[in-house]
Amino acid sequence: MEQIFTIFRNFCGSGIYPYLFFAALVYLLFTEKNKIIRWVLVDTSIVLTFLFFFPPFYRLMEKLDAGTYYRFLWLLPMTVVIAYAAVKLIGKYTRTGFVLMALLLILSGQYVYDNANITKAQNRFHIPDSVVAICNEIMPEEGEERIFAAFPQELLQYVRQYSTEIQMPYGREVLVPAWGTAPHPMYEEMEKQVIDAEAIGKMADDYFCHYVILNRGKEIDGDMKEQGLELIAQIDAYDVYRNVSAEIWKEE
Amino acid sequence: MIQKAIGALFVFLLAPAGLGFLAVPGKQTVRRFFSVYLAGFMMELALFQLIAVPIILQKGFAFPTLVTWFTAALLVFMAAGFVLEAVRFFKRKTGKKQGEMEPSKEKVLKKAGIGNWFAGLRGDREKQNILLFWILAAAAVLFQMYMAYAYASFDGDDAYYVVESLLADETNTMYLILPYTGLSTNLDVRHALATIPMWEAYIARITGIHATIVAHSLIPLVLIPVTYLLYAKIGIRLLGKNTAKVPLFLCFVSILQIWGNTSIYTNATFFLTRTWQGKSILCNLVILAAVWIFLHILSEEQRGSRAHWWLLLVCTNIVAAMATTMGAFLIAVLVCLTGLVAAVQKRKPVLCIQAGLCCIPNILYLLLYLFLVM
Repeated sequence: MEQIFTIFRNFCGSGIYPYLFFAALVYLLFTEKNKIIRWVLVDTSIVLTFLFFFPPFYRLMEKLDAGTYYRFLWLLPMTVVIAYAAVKLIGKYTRTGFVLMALLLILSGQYVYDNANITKAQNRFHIPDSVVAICNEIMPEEGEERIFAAFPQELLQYVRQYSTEIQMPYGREVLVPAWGTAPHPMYEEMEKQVIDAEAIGKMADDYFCHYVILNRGKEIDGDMKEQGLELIAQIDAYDVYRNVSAEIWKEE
Repeated sequence: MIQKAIGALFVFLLAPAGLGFLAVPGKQTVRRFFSVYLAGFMMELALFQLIAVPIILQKGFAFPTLVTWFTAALLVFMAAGFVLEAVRFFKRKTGKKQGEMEPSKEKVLKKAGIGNWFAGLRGDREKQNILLFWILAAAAVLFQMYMAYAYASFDGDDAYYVVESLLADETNTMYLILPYTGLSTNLDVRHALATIPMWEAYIARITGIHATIVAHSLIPLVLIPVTYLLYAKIGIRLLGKNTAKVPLFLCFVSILQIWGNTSIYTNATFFLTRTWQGKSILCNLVILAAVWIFLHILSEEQRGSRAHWWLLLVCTNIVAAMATTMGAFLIAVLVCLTGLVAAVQKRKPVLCIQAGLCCIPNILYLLLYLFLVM
């Protein structure tokens, strides 16, 4: 039962909307005269809520799809019920009632656009411009085979959203430890604060990487050129190296 | 540019309208058109899922086959819908000609009322409120659309879902390449049966727009207003005679969405930060559609057959499976429970059976999933 309450609290997060939803349900339970609305919004929600807090149902759902039990709360029509109850509650005093109710909702919620993951879009792809520029730089030309490129951690998730012509020795799976993916040696080398040029050069060959992209903020121990990695471009905060020993196959 | 415009017009307006005409009978009114559109939108998605799953299971370079079959099916159903609507229109017109030529007094009064609505605005506080809240509601929706377009919302899952769409469009294969790295893989059954990314790839192919732009910039501009349209239809059902309060209802809905980011799990967070992903479509569009449909099915004002609403419920169930594999199960729980509650309260057991029958596609889908996984 404690696990279910934890899931519920995590769902509520920093707000009280689910509690407002329960308050709205109680309000509608006593005031709603339309039986269709009672059945669809009130009675069904009560049964769903009971089911959510019913431990055997939790155990069943965990067996079916572990870690996604919170999704059951999606079935509760919280927004509809709260908004409808609010409209009913404020009755005729529309403007004053609206302002007071809006204040309650705003103060007890969290503004979505304050989310740290939301930033001004740099382009219509909604991926960083630097990724677009780097990909354009290394993109295979017409008739050339797809290329492999090793990217630093912060760019990994975006590269293949721009072009699937660029393949990578490691991808997003290395960023999510919970998935239990074995650590990738090249990724581990790329993420060191001081990058060993010899190790990177060797791994670029081992993993058939045509390009290596490094964050310029990192120190490099050794000479990249000696390892066959030729600096071909500097784009924003990144250096783009071409691995001269990895040939790009071209259709005749 | 022409391809983009025609493609978008076809997928987002003409096809849903045509399909909706097949499902929603009634007079040619603006209010009915919105129901037609919503019904058609759900039917289009359900049709895609029905065509896509068997083609995906064929493996190989199957994406062009999917594009051809789905486009052909859309064209056929869309044409049938428009023809049916035209027949209805002419039948009604002919009926009118044969019957009473003069418009009824109520109609004349209603027309005059609409015409004079704005004229009486100055001294009427209630009318001013209605107008004010409609403006606020529309502005809130436009604001959310603008933010969805002008602001990027980072989500790690895009490295999977959006890349799957792009892979289908760029390589003609579906779920046969690892999105993270580009290496080949076996068919990823867990994700392959939920075809929202392929629908977005289809839009990319038809419009010629890059699949990532489709997902991040185009889809929110469609799904946000469509979801609010559903809220408005639900509001109309809930508020009944007080439809003047629908804009007020929509204002509260907007506030709850915009300030609903209290955790990463809420419907509102998914709605405005991951609009293009199947999970967001499930917890917003699909669940709302089920609520809207049940409000119609159980309504006693509803005259004539309710068969088209049950059919729409079946489509909604299929769209849930299209959104996420687990969606097929979740929506079935909602539909069966609502059917059970209504059956008990109305003392009409057939409602429960009908709701259960609507979930047959979900059961078949989950059996297929289990079969493929095992």
